Order: sequence, then C-alpha cells, then structure tokens
Amino acid sequence: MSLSLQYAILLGVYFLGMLGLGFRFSRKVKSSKDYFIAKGKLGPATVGFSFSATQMSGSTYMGAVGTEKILGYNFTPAAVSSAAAPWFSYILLGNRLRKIAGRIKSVTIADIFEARFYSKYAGLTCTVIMLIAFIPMIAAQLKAAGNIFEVLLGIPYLAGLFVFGGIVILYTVLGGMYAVAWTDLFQGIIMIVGFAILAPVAVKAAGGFSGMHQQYAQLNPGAISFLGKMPAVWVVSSFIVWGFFQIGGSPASVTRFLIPEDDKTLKTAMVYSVFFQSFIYLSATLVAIAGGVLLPHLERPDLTVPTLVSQLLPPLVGGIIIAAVLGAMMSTIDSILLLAGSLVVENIFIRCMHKEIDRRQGLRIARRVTFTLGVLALLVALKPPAAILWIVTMSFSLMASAFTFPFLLGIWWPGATKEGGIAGMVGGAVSCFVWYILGFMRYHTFDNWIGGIWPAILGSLISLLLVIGVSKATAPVPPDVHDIFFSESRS
Amino acid sequence: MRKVKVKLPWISILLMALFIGGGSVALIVKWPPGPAHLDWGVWILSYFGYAYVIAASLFYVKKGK
Repeated sequence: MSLSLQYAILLGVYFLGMLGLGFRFSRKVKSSKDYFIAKGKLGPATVGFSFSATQMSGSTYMGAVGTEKILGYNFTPAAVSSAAAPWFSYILLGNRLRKIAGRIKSVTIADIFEARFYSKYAGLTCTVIMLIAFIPMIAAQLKAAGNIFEVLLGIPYLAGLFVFGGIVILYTVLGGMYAVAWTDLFQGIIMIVGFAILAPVAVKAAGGFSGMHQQYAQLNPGAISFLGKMPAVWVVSSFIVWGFFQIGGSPASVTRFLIPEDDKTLKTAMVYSVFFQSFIYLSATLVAIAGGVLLPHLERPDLTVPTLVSQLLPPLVGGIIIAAVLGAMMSTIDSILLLAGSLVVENIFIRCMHKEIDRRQGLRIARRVTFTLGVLALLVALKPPAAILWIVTMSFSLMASAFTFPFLLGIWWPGATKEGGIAGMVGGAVSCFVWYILGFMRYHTFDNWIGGIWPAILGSLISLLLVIGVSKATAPVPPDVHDIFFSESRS
Repeated sequence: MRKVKVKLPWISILLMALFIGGGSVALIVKWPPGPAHLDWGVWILSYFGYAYVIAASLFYVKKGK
C-alpha cells in the first residue's frame, strides 16, 4: 500500500470523526445564540483549546516553521510572543468582556463595540472591517489545504479543496459553536500528540540538542542568535506584534470570551491556552532548527514539517501529524466562518435591517448564512486571485490596528467616547493600509516596510492617539453607558 | 447592592510590561555564550520565556491581580 494511500485512509477516518461531531451537536442547538456562542455550555478545556486552535492556523505548522527554519533564532521571539498571546488577551480583555457580554446579552464582538460606543455605526464599522478580512482568510486556508492534498496525497487540488472545504462547512453549519469548539479541542489534542512525537525524533536525527545547534550555527551562522539575518527593528517588532496585538488581530479567538458564565471557567481556560500554545511554539522551534540541519536545501521551506514527517516517521504516525496540520486549518476556518455568520445575522440582518425573528427562524437563517459564506470562500479558493495573498497578509495587521486600542480603552477607560472609538478603528485600519501601500511603492512587496516598522504597530499607535485625542475633544460618555461598562454591582 | 469601580489587574500588567520591555531590550543586547552553542539571550527569552508566561498566567489564576 502506498504512503499516500495510507495517509488518505487515516485522514478519511479523521474527517468522518469531525463530521460525526457536527451531527452529534446539531441536536443540541436550539437558537441562533446557542449556535453562535453556546453561552455557558462549554467547559474550560473546550474554551481554552478552541481559543488557541483558532489563533494557530495551518501557517503555524507550514509557513511559520519554514520561516523559522531559515531565520532561526531571529524568529523565535515571535514564537514566544505568540505563546504569550492568550496571557495578554485573557487578562486584559477576557473577564471584562465576559461580564459586559452577560450584561448586554451580546452575541458578537461588534455588539460590544456598538454598546460601548453607543452607536450602530461603531458596530457596523467593526462588522465591515472583519468581513473584509475574513472571506479571503478562509479562502487562503482552503487553498493551503488543497495544496497539501495535492503535494502530499497526490489528490487533485479541486478534489482536495471540495472534500476538505465541504467537511468544515458541513460540521460548522450543523453544530455551530458546539461543534466548532469540540472539534477544536479534538484537533488541539492531535496537534499536541503530533508535535510531541515529531520534535524529539527530529532533534535526535539532527544530532541531539547540542549537536543540532552546533551544525545549525555552521550552516546558518546569522540565525543562531536574535540578530544576524534580520534588522533589530524587525525582530523587536515581530516580538511585540505577535503577542500583544493578537488582542485586536484575532477577533475569532476573542469571541470565546463571550461563552463562559463564570470567572473560574475563563481562568482555567487561560491555563489550557497558555500551556497548549507554549508547547506547540516550543516544539515548532525545535522542529524548525532540526529542519535547518536535516533539510538545508529544501526548495520550499513551508514543506519542512511534511518532508520531515515522510522521512522520519512511520505512515501511521506521519498521518497523525498531517491530520494535525489540516486540523489547524480546519479550526481556524470554522471559527472565522462562524464569527462571519454571526456578524451578518446579528449585526447586519437583525440590528441594521431591523428584522424581527423568533428562535427557530434565527437558527435557520444562521445556518443558511454560514453555509453561504463558506461556499463563497470555497468559490474564491477555486481560482484565487493573486491579490488574495496580499489581502491575507494585511488582514491580521488591519484588524490589530483597528481593534486593539479601541477595545482596550473601550473596556478600561470611561473617557473613551463614540467619536474616539470610531476614529480609532477607522484611523488605525486606514493608516495601516496606507503604510503597506507606501512600503509597496518603495520596495515592490508587501513584506517590507519603510524603516522596518510593522504596519500593525504604526496603525495601532495612530489608533491609540486618535481614541484618546478625539475622546478628549468630544462630549463625555452618557451615564447609562458608563453604568453598564464601568460599575460592578457587589452585595 | 453597591456599585464599585472596575479594578485593573496591576501586577499582571507590570509582568506584561516587563515581558515586552525586558524582552525587547534582551533582543538588542550582546549576550555571552551559554550551553549547547546558544547564547544566554536565546536561553532566557526563547526557552525560559515560556516558563515566565506560564508562571505569570498561574499567578493571575491564583491571585486575580
């Protein structure tokens, strides 16, 4: 039996398991609120793993490991910082967001923006920025999955795309947040098992921890320390951006804070997230350095993990790791798909178009919208335009710039006004976009920026200044909004 | 029932500032060589950094500050 066929059988079983979860949870969903956030019905492990699995896409295992293989320890600050992302997000946003969401009965992040900045335009701005970013993000993940099927399993791109995309869309449409969170937990466990096997095997094959680094330093001398291949500004920026700015840059993960009804569940979920992400990023570093030693001439660095798997591990174990990579893509797609669906139903259909619907109608519409968005992304992935990769590159930075400080100041600073919040969101996104364009005009690529300053940092700083400056110059927050957001009842 | 103002988790915020500020400085300092052909900066940030984040998270869970 060929290696590809053995992988394909294992993945077939895995996909059937995911679908089974979708069918299993479809019976538990009774309303659109159940469907989108499963309020109070998920435990700390599902919330924690779902947060992290959403944040770590397939690029963590493919692109990031490939980049780290080349840049070595110039890139590891970004990895440590990525592991710290849940620590920042849970503490600075999590508990406050959970309490506020409970008070105003919100289903989406945009609901919170709308209530805090007492304007439907604030919610709408947030919705529009996210939807612009989401469809190409889903399409890009689907495209990457199609490529894996093509390269590793010898299955034609379109067939792989339809099988993979169809399964993710189907279990998300059926089971909503229940299915998404439980499949994320399952996929997270597979990711841990996969890297727990691959990392020590790869390090041993590369000569052991010390020997591996000795060889890596000879092959790639600029990458054995923090500086040498990339400028200091780039290394420091990557360290700051991939941790702290996930607060605004990853709204699909942050939506998990709306699920728990108590503080304890959220805190325990944070522990799961931090341990999970720390383990994955530490293992990814070891695999990347081992890849640099074992595969120094690999033409496509993003194929480091699959190539190591096929060379070092038996098919059954290798299949688990391929499943982990595909699982990481699935867990990102399902969460973004669900959030995009909730934004269309709750923030456009119900709030902006003032449609009144009952629970069953709401659930039916939620499923139809989620399905339609999934199919739309699938169609984009059939023949993705070249611009899609640029948009995906920008998506995270745009959202980080638009949301990080309006979010933080909105929930912690009573002085943030409607005008300040909207100016911060729009100004942050626009300045980030302009910085990308200026960089492109000078360097003819979206990966290089003037002065090495990351667009997410520049956009966020401008957003911060706008929120504070405009808020100081405009009328104060109405007392009822102040009471909802900044007074906590104690008996 | 009485109304109280929201409290910032100051100790965790200080730990975060130390992580970002200290980490950023650590990236541009010249470090002496350490074990396993890595310098001490790499050991401190790229390996012990994970332990710092985990310990700081557990501190917040325990103390809520």
